[in-house]
Amino acid sequence: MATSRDEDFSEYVAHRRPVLYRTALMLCGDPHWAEDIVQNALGKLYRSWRRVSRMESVDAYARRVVVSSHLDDVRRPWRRERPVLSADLDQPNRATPDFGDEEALWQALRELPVGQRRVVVLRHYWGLSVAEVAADLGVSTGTVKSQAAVALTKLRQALAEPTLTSGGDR
Amino acid sequence: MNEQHEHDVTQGFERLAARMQPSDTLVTADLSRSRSQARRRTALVSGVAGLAVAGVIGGAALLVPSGEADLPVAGAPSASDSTTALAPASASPSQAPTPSKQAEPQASQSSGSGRTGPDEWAMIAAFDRKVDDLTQAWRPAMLDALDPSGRHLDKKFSNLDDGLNEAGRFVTGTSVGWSTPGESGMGVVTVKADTVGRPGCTSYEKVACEKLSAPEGTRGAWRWTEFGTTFHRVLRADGSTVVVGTNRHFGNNSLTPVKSMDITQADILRLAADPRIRITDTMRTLYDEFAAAQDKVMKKTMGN
Repeated sequence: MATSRDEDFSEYVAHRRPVLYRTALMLCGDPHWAEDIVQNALGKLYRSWRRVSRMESVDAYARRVVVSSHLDDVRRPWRRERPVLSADLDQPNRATPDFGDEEALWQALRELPVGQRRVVVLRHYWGLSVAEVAADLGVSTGTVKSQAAVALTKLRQALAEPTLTSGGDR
Repeated sequence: MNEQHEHDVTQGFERLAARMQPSDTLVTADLSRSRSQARRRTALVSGVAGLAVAGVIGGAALLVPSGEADLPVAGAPSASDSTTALAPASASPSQAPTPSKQAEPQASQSSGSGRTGPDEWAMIAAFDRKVDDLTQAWRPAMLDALDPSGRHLDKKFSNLDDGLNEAGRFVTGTSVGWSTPGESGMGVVTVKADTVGRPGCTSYEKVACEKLSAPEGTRGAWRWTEFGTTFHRVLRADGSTVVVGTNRHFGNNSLTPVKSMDITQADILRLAADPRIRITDTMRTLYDEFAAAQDKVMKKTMGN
């Protein structure tokens, strides 16, 4: 029987899962890994739901859990499943990648160090202030500013010169 | 950087997000998985064997923000409106496909604040190779029991799982694709083994757990179904357990299930009882060394 907790949690997931998924995908770059991150984050969110749902912003909590889950994965890569790519295998059915005019930006985002990537995703996808990003990541505002400056230089170049940076490792 | 440049990048992220098509995961599935995770964690933390694991996790929780801790959240952004469907900075959903797999950002770890020594990473790499070797060694037993013709099981396994089981003991396993020549779709056979297990089903949902007749030379066998996968578990004479799961749909690797998997329960139990499906003493020793290296890496990484 569904409880109030389950109903509230389900309603939140129905509305906000796409945002959490896109956040995870921007951070990790892999759709399947992003799904894992989101599912892991939702599991943590569910466990803390009674407390979290009383917070001013469930989104803020969920966002931090997604970022932390990605961070955990990066720090402990041996805990992840490691797909083996081989011509002998039936390859996964993945949707055709199509970032269109945004391919260069996507590639540039992928090439950013993970710390810079986190900063720009929180700044420019979530629209957080420097102080909010610093609070989310547990770093100083100076660190956020310096990482954002370096990252934005690279991303601006991708936006201005898409033909020079597209292609990457595809 | 000026405001115009920042604005351009923000707009770029909006367009990027609009091209990211989330999966059609059902909310009920998310809820079910989340409840399962909650039960697993409860079982882990309350278990005596889980104390060691909880120690590591607890230590880590003191050093790094975690989704399970009380998180001091930043001020509520405009995105906190739960009616915003697409993104904090996006306006409309898109039907565009998701991006393909990209190079993982492993190399970029070195540019982060953490630093790890080559010894630890070499240890981890060596462990991975050993586990790969071990799992590859299971393939002959899998072929003998499930696919004598060699027409169905993938030649290489598609992933690797390892960690601790509900008793806090090392468990490793793999999922192997199952296909039929001339037919689209892919099923999966999952095999996991531990060194010491517990009798009964290991489902975290309230599912029917059926006790089966134990294969010769074993102490017990059980069967249950969870999330579309049928699991068989055998407790062997040495106290180890093997779980074999079969599902007509390998959801990670294919959108289409196979029409059928010509595998009988007797085949599966024979595989689970096969002594070739085992974790060697060498593996156990190596895992202890690996765990120590892992702990060292975590402390180094998180300590900065």
